[in-house]
Amino acid sequence: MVRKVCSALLMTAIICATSYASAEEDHKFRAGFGMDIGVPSGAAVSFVVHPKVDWASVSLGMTYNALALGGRVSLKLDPIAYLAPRFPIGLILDEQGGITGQGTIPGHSDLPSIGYTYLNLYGGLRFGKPNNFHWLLEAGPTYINATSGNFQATVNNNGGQGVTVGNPSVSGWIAPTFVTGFEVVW
Amino acid sequence: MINMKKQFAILFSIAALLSLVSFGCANVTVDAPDICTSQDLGVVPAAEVSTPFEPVMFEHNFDLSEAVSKVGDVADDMTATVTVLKVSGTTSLRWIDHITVEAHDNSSVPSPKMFASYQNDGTGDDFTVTLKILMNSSDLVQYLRRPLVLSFEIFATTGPSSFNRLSVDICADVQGTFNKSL
Repeated sequence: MVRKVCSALLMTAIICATSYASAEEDHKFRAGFGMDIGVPSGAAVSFVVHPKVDWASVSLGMTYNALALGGRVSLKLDPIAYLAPRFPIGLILDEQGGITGQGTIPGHSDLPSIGYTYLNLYGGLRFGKPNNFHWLLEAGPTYINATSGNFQATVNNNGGQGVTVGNPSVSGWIAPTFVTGFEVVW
Repeated sequence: MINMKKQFAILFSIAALLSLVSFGCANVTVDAPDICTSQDLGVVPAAEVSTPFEPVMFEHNFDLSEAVSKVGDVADDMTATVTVLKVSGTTSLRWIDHITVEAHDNSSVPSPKMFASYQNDGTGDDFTVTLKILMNSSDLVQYLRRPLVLSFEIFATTGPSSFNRLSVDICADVQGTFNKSL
C-alpha cells in the first residue's frame, strides 16, 4: 500500500515537473496543489496558495490515514525564497494543524475507533524553486490529542463482568514525526 | 551590512533546521475515564421501631483491575481517582447514621485500609448516599490494579421501616504518563 502511494506520488511529481518547468516566475498571486504522505497526517491532497509572495504560503488539504478522512491547514514560511528567490533549495518552517474523524480498522467495526487532532511544528527542506514545482521533506515535533470510541467493546470481548468503561484519550508530544511530498504552484 | 529582514530570514532558517533534527521523544498522558461497576450489596430487613439497630456489614468484590491494568501496561506514574461511590436503596436511606468502607485486596498480606465514609447530615437524596473517598491516589492505584474487596459497615440508631435492598455504584478515573527518549 505504502509502495503504491509512494509510486503514485513520484509519477505525479515527474509529470508536474516536466509540465511546469517553463512556468513564468513573475506572477503576483500563485495557486496550485500538493500531495504528500506523513505521520500523523497520512496521505494528503492540498490546495496551495502563495499570496503575492513566494516566501509564505497557505495550504488547505484533505487527508486519509487508512482509518478515516480528515482535514489539514498549513502555514509555511520559506526565508530562503525571500533571500534568493531563484535558489532551488530552501529551508522552511511549516506549522500544520489537522483533524481526522473517528475511524476503525477496515472490516473491524467491532473494535474501538480512534480519531485525533494534531499540531505539527515542522522544519524542513525544499528541493526545487519556490514558485514552481518543488519537493518538501519536513520533520519535527507533533502535539497530538487522540480520542477513542466504543472502547467498551474491548471489555465486552474479554468478559468484562459488569464493568463499563469510558473512552480513553491520549494527549502529548511526539518527536520526530514527518511529512514528505511535492507542491506545484504557478 | 545585513538588514533586519535578512536577519529574520536567517533566524527562521536556523529554526527550521533545528526542527528538522529534533530529538526523538514521546511525552504523552493517557486518561481512562469512567471505569464503572455496580453490585447488589444486600438486603436490610424492616426493623421494629423500639429495637436498637445492630450495625450490619456487607462485603463484595469489585474488579476494575482489567481496565486499570490496560492503562498500567502502557503508562507509568499512574494516578487514580474514585469519582463515584454511592449506595442506593429501594426505599429511603434516611435511617442510616453513618457508613464506613474498608478496602482489602485478595492477597493476605496488607491489612484493611479505610476507603471511604459517609455521615448523615440530613441533606441529600432519599434513596442514594454518596460516600467520601478517604484513600489517597497512590494507594488507590495499588488496590484498583487487583480485584478489590470492599467492606461496608452501616450504622444507625433505628433500622429502616421497610425492607431495603441496597446496591453500590463505583467509578474510577485512571491517568498515566508515558515518557520515552530515543
